[in-house]
Amino acid sequence: MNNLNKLPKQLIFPSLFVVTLLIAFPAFAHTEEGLIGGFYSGFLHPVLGWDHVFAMVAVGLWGAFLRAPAIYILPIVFPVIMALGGAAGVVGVPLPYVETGIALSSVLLGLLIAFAVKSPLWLASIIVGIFAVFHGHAHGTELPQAANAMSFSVGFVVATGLLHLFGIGLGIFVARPGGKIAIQLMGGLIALAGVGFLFGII
Amino acid sequence: MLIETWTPGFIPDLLKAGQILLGLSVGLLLGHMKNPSRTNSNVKGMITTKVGVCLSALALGIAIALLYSHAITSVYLLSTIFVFTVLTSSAVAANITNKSVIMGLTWLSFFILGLTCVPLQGLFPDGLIIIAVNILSLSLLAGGAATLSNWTAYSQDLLWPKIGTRILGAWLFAVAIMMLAFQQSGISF
Repeated sequence: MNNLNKLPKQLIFPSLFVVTLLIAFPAFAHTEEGLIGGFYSGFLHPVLGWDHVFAMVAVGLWGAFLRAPAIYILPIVFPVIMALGGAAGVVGVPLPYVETGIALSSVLLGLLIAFAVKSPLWLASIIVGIFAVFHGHAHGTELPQAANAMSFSVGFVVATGLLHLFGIGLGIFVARPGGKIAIQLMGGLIALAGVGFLFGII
Repeated sequence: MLIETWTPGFIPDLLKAGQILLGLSVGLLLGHMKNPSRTNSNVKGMITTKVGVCLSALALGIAIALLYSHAITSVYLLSTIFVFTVLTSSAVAANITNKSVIMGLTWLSFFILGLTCVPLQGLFPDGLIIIAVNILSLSLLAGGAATLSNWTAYSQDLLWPKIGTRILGAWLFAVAIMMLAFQQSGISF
């Protein structure tokens, strides 16, 4: 796993690609119809909600902070558990305090990064898994009526994964001089944003 | 509901999508099986492939027989294919190394893929062409995924492609779970 430290050069272009995707939103007519529209709706669902974006990036950042194997285990655990939460949302299983849970995910994950908490892998997986349920449930219950369900699913799973990879891409700079402080600052900002989501300020 | 809208004689889009998901996850599983870090796994992988092909042929025979007796329904087929996608992709994502589990899943997945290659209420002999095209394309898809996964397993310097295989497995799992949920909830596709 030592060659994980070689990541920066390999991930520069993928990271830039993801940033470009996040910035550039082409104008689609009837975005929620058909196969393409379903994918587009699903893809934008995690990307356009800042509460989702901060939490997804935080998962990648924390994984990179904890290093191998957490750097790739957490992005595996999250979509798997998120899908279970999404399935519960689709079939109508109620889950209280979904938005609170999503906001708290940014707060807690941000604080864990800010204070450089080195959690054991099992605990990190449980923390990430619990929050994944809330994020998944929100995706499952907010499926647009006109969207193609299959391409919507593919869209939000891919977008979630890309946000994790973006977080990992940022997190690998922890090995660089001053990188650890920068990442901890990012964690602090994520936690602050989470507090904003929690109290409806943002 | 999607069942009423399916056109007889053709494999519906949703089932094709399910086939692609399962084909990809089986391919990843086969590549995972051939990881050189496991003793004699290449030989086992080849045996798995051969037995899998034989089982899919057997599945075809059974499927054609069931077809004439109208025992195949879209609901069972779709549920089965998504359940098996969940199982195979979770084996990839969880990096399961138990050979019995891997071989068992691969065989059963081939069997299910064979079953789904028969068009619902197919019109024979035209349906046979659809079956042949489906089997060929699914074999290419699974073979491609296995080759890609196998290539990453043999590369010495690139660790991330190997991890990418597991992450892809997790993504396939997530999509398959969502599809099962959509199917159960009656949402049209």
